[in-house]
Amino acid sequence: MTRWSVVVAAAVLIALAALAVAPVPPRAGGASVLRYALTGDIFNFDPTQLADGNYIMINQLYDSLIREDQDLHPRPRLATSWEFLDNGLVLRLHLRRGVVFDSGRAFGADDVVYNIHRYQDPAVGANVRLQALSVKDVRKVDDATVDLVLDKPDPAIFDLLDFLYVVDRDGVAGIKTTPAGTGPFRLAGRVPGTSSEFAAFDRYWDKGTPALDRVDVRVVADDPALIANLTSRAVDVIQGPQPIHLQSLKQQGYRVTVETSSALFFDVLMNVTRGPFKDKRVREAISLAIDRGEFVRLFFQGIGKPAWLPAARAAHVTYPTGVDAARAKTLLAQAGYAGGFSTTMLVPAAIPGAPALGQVIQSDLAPLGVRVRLELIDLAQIRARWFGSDFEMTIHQYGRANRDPDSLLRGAVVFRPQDNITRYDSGAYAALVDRGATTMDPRARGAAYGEVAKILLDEAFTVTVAAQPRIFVTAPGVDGLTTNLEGMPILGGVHVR
Amino acid sequence: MYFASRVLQAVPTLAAAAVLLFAVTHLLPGDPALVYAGPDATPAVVAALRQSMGLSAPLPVQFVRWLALVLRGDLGKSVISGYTVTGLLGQAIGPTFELATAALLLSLLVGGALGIAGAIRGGAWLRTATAYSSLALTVPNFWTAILLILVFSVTLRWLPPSGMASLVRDPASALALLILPAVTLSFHLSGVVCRFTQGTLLEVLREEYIRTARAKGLDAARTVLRHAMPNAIIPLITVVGIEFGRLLGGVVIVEWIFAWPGIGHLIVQAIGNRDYAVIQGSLLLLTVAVLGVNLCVDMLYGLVDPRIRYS
Repeated sequence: MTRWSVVVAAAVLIALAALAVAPVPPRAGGASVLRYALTGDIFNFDPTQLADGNYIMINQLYDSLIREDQDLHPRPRLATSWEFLDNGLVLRLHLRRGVVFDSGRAFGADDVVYNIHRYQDPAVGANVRLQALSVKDVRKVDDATVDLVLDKPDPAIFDLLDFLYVVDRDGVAGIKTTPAGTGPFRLAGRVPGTSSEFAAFDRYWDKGTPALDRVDVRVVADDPALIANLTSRAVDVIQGPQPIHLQSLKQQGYRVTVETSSALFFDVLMNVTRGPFKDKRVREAISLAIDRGEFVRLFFQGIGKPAWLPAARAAHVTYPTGVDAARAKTLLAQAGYAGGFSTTMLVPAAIPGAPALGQVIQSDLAPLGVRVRLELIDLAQIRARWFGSDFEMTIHQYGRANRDPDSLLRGAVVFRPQDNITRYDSGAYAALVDRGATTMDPRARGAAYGEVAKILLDEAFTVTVAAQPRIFVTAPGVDGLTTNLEGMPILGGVHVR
Repeated sequence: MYFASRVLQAVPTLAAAAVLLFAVTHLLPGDPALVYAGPDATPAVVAALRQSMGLSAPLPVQFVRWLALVLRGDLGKSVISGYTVTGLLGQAIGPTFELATAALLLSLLVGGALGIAGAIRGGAWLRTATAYSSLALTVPNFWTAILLILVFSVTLRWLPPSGMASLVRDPASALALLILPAVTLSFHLSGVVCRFTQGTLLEVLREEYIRTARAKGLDAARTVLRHAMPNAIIPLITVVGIEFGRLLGGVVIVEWIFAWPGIGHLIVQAIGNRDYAVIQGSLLLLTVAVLGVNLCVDMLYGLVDPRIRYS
């Protein structure tokens, strides 16, 4: 063997040896640490921002005034009890005592007053600002009591309180980078875009919570990286893997948690001021031609739910039973499009499942002669097109479908009577939505929302397609992961064995 | 004098780059206010956010404001995350430097060794080096990354698939985490180095002064190291200098795949959020880095070949 051969062979051997001995990073010795991976980074630490990336931090670093259960019953958090006064126009909140922010300052009524005003300020950009505007005035009664004065009776007020995460008013100036809440954890480290570390807050009001010492949150590139991190045991929990992996993960002993309370739905929007979509028969025909079940089978592997409307089935409303291609064809012919037409559909490329739904719709509409060109674009670009109603058709997702119908119908940009991005504008629809929002009697509300459901099915400006479940997969030995109605993880009760 | 003239030439390039990258960033459809406002924002909220983010002023005014800040050494603040851009870059530059240095060294080591072996030994070595460089030049970074993760993280479980650790606090983990991204990033450049080293060395080895050296009894290793390599290295420096820009481009993809907290990772996120200040600051820094490396290459020419310095 010559000298050169020896040098090259040695280099190769050293490289291989280095690969073989390099260890996978171990857990910190002794501490109870949860390693959590997801594909989107924390947006910032302001809990008024309900961006997907913020979901991981909100319930760990902050507390809301109440937490709604699956049946929309409010449960105590920072508010321990409540009562309606003055014929439902005042909601009195009794606040928890002994709560401190992570700065050490005590929480009290002034913080609630400050936070409600903050949620109403347009420059803050709170995602539930519209709901917060239903509070006309906030009055401090004493240090532990607050009155919320409402314009009119508001049956959806607890949805707002469930979203109202309280920030320390002394910490608001730096809230984007430095959390200032009363949650079970506090921020211990952060590398923007890559990782965050939460450490147990030893002065948390709920003694014994959290069970963990630390949570290490890691941002990974994409879905394959999520799976690789879990199966290589680099993390204990992954959030939001694509459904196609679930069967195999289950077989390998991982626990799959599918959150089916269905806050989030896929929908197809049609701009009622553009071309063929001006005619409601065309919109209805398209709704009837979409094979929702096929999409759920293909993309969700059967774990999602096909849907025509977001809410529970309303009485006295006739729902379509499935694809009705014959009726769709008749409706198109009646509208003067017997030979079909060409259109473009915007598809948000960043939303997993949206491109798949685009393809399903493209294929479903082809037999009707409707030729759909898919235009895949990123989130910032598609938001500009949505807010400018610059589309003919688009795939979209709306949230908060499992809340009070009023939160959805007056909050979601695809249902609300004002500033609706499909440009649908109807006085009758607006009046019904308003009636449902201000009527406390459940039967009268049910009747109003039944009428709304009929309009949604008949006018088909926003066509609901399927509920999207939120998916978490945990390694063996991890217990106690729960979520709130929104699908945000709650890690206070998590144990790692 | 030579150094000063090269530095002066870089100034207009940097100014042109600043104008270009500001314009391109603001030409992207969408803006940070739309991202920040959320999916159900009202026009009033979007308008209020645009106002508070300073986006309602005309573009030339925004450019002058940004330039004035940059000239004072302030790259602005992320309107999304609230961090200062200099702070974010300060945090990201170390990991990118670490990864780029590791990849550069690895590519010089692997590509250089294979290229030299191929040129000197010929036969099977030459064929191996040629096959290696062809493979390295054709395989895209993202594919190499996925393959390495599948083999070494998922199947063999030898190496972690993503993340970064401190070289000072936890050197073992840091090394383990560095291997896959560094190998991925170095693969293409190692092919380039291999091909150029092999080609230029083969050419130099045919020169008469090499034959003379060998005829006078100098052994093969000394002939190559003392006489052939210094002449073969000049075109290699040029190529490595040019390829460094490509390496920084590759950093964007590789850092994203391996969740490596560097500038590339920062840029991808900032583009998604239309976080103008972060995009502009990061790209400006990369421009300075590429200009700096080209300047260093020019300096190296001067050192390696005095004829360039004196001309």
